[in-house]
Amino acid sequence: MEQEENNQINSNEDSQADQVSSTHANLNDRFTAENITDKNGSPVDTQPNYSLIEKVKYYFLPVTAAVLICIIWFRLYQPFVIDKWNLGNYYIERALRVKNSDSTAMLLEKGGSIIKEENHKHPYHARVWHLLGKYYLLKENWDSCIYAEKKAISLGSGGIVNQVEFTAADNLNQALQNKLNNTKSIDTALQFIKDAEMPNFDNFVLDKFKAMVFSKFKQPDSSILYFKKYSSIYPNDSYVLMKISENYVRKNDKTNAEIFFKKAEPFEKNNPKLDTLRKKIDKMSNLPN
Amino acid sequence: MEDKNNLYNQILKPIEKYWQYHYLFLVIGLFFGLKMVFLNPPWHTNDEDRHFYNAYALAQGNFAPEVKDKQIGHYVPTNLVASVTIHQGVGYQNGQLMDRENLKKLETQLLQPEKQEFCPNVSSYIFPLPYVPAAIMIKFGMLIRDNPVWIGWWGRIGSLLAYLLIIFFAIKIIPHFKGLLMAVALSPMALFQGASVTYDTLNLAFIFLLFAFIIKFYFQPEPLRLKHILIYVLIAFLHRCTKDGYFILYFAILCLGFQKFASKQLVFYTIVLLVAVTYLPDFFWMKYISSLHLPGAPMQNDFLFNGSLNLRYYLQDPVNLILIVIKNTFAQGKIWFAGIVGRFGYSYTVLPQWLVFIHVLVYALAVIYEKPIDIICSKFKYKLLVVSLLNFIAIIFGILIYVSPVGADLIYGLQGRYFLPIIPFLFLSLFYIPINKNEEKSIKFLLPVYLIFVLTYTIFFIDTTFYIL
Repeated sequence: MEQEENNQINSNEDSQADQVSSTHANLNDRFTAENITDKNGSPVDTQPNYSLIEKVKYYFLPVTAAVLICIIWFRLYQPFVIDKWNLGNYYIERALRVKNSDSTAMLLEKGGSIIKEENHKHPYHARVWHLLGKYYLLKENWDSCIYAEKKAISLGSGGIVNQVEFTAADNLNQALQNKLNNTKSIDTALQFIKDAEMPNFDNFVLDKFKAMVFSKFKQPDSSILYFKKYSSIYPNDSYVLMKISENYVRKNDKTNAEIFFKKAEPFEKNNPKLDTLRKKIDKMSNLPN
Repeated sequence: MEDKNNLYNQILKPIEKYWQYHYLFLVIGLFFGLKMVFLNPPWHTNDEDRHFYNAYALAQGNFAPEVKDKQIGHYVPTNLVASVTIHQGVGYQNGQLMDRENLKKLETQLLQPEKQEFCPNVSSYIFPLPYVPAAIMIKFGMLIRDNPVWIGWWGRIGSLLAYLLIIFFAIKIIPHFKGLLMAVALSPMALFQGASVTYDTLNLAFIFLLFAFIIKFYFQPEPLRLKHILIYVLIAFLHRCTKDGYFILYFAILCLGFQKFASKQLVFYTIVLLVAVTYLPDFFWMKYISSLHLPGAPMQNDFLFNGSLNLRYYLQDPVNLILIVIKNTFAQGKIWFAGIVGRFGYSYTVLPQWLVFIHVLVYALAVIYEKPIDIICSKFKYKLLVVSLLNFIAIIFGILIYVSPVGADLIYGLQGRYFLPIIPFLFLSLFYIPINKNEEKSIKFLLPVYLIFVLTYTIFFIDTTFYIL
């Protein structure tokens, strides 16, 4: 009788599988619970009579899930995942830390080749252009660095987080400064600066560079003009304040030279150049030229 | 065994009728939730500053963003913006901590609504619905106390009340797995989100409510009728107006099997309604937003983020795409677990590892020890597993395709908390074993005690992590 009932239940299993109620669900899975009662209200036998296959069926998922969680949690399998452009940067950073020059060159080249490849694959990523610029800066390839960083700025400007344009501009300025240091003609120098300018990005350091070029080629009026322009953005740049004072000395304008000297003084107390400048100002006649 | 029964009869049975999970949830949630409201430093939950501005704007009756200098945002009192700003970017990693004295001083500062400034907010175009509870509470709270810090706290209190009420109802109606739902909803991460001004508050609450309805429908003897479907679809609609990324879970109702529906026609209507709920709210809202001709400002511009280009890139090598997802799951999985249980603030401070592990274990145990008076059939369980895994994988793929730079190997910005809504579905389908467990009664008493312990620890943890002692 019981066997017949079981067979009947099995035959109805499919149709009943989704219609679960408190009385049918347990039968569907052929398990019983201790407080389930039969029609007469007597407790049903609590011992489930499941086979090995059923055991495997019911424990397979929890055990698999538990194993997976443990693999992840205890890091039994932990692949190294890194973007290739970051891998390139990793080698470049390592190159900077290694003291052996052969290893430095090797690591730099390794990093550079990865970044070049990534830049070729993803020319739309400002960050990758910036990393390429960083590589060229370390290689002292100023023109390529300026080109790459200009691309980084033009592609990457305007974001609110993880901004790339400012660090790119730093590298660009560094490369440009190195380029300007070796320039002997004022026109060439000004052309280099003009080439580094970008229409939609305010790189105020270029004004400082222009001022420095004019200062180097003894044109104090233009130099003061650009230094003051730069100083209106960065009023605490004591180097610029000193340079303005120096240019006023060159113009024999003691009053203004004194004003900018006093502005620079608190920041440059330990700078020996300040003493030299002081002496130059003191030697000047009191009247402006 | 007999000792256990005696202990149960003597101590636990008399209080059993008061030991209802939904009431316990409300009491524990309210106590620790309010603690989190005031202890979590102001505007410190992920992107809470931007969500708060949206809630504040809504409280002022602004549904859509305004434009100034090609940026979108809202006009906000200057000293409110200042209060929000000084609480951003605190250098916890450099040993900097919050000073309670400074916070107390801020509490005495009055809001100056006459002095306003434009506050750019790239998130100001999103659905306003998730901010309704916070906005209502801000509106009424400002009548009592209207200084900038308190306005932030009013918003949090509004969110918390909505979170607690919706999940209270969910735990009340769910016939089984109340423990699982309570353990997930009162996990430090979920309550932290619940007690913050963010769209995740209602996101979690509505998904948990959907889960409760699915389990309720499963165990109810009567077939599903139109009224059941309409209630379910309404919750799905509300959820869809809150956050996207979880629409696959809406279709979990189909796991009940077509026989569970009163008619085949109803199955068809259900599918149509769920598809409509998935696409139409976003479609109409975005149509409205685009009619405003708002300028678009990129959040992050150092990489190109372009879904279609990214998809095209990855589909060149689908095997590599699958490998990327698998590798990232194993490489980042542990931190995802931490995000499911407790990863706080924008500084991403994580609860101790042992606690995270124990809490994940508790999710599993809450399912394993559920007394199977009404056994869940394997078919339903496997279908539910497929749905939850699909949503789980969809989140990973979605983040890889739409949030990570084109061609990235590493999945960017995927936080464990994104998986939190899936946890009840996933853990039920993974860990449910239809075998009778006599320990169920004691577990029923132990779980709330454990949750009180873990939340007490969390409060202590937040206190010591963010504040000068």
